[in-house]
Amino acid sequence: MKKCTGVGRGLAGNTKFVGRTGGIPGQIIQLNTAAVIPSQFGYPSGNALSPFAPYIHGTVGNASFTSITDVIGGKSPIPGVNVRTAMQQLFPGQLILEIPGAKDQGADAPVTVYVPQASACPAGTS
Amino acid sequence: MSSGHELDLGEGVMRLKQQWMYFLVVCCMPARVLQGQSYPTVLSVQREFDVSDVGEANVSLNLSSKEGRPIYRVQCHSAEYTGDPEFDYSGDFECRLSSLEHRTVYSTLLTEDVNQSRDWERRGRFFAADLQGECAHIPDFGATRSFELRGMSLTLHIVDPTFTDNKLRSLKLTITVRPDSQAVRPIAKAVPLPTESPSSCKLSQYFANAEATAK
Repeated sequence: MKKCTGVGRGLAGNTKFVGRTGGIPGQIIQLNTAAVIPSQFGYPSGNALSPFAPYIHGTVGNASFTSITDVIGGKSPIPGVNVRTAMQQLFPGQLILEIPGAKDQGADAPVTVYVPQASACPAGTS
Repeated sequence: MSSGHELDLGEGVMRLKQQWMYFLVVCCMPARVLQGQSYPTVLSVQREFDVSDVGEANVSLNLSSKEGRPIYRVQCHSAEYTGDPEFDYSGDFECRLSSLEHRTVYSTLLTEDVNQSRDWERRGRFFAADLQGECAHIPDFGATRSFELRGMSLTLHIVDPTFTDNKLRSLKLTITVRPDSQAVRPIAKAVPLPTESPSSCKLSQYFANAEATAK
């Protein structure tokens, strides 16, 4: 695995989805797993990210995640702008991670992410 | 005297008319909005789509107002679809409803959650298991799902699904839209999960609780 470090926005994830199949095929949402924006990892969709999602893990601030199980989505803070785009506009250059069961880690939180060797480091990290 | 009395009567009638108009505006207009009348009336439509390869599903249907103006769009794709950066499709087949006239905060109007936090939330997404055996017959969570919102009723009805190794391969989808004056929410009316269902249907795995999302 390749170690990537940088900064991110760590969001407190809603626990109501724990036990559900999220936006990553084959993965069940669990506490301390992450919902992400696939394009920040270089993939166009949750489906495209799915082969690598179980292996990607790391920390944002004081929160850790053991794998990726979902895709950030839903209601946007900016009407007419997709939530994934909006979050990246609000927190430019930062890796956006939402972790069910974790506390909000705020913006510019230190991030360490481990990705498969063949993958590029995600946005906000190198 | 007579004309004066008539003039007074005319003023009184005018005042009554003004008061009546005030009553209509102040009291009745909010009720009309609450009853969903603020949304344009949608034209009834029923269309069938033959999806011979779900992996390549590309369903798109514009819904028009009674004046013929396109106001909403229904799109259905599989998780492999990446042509819509506004929405992350998942499951085996997923439908999305969006407004063509107004920018909304929701990624799909089929959500039932005013605080929607996932694109896949909640009944617009289909899994192969939802369409097989008795699971297919569960109202609103199987092969036929109705959504009430914005002065309309929208029904997604899947028939003749085929599977290879339990993976959804093909289907026929009928989209039916009718005006519905009882549908007042800006997003879909919440439909609770059935209290009982076969475990093989995995409803609690595939759907979030309406109780947690409806408020």
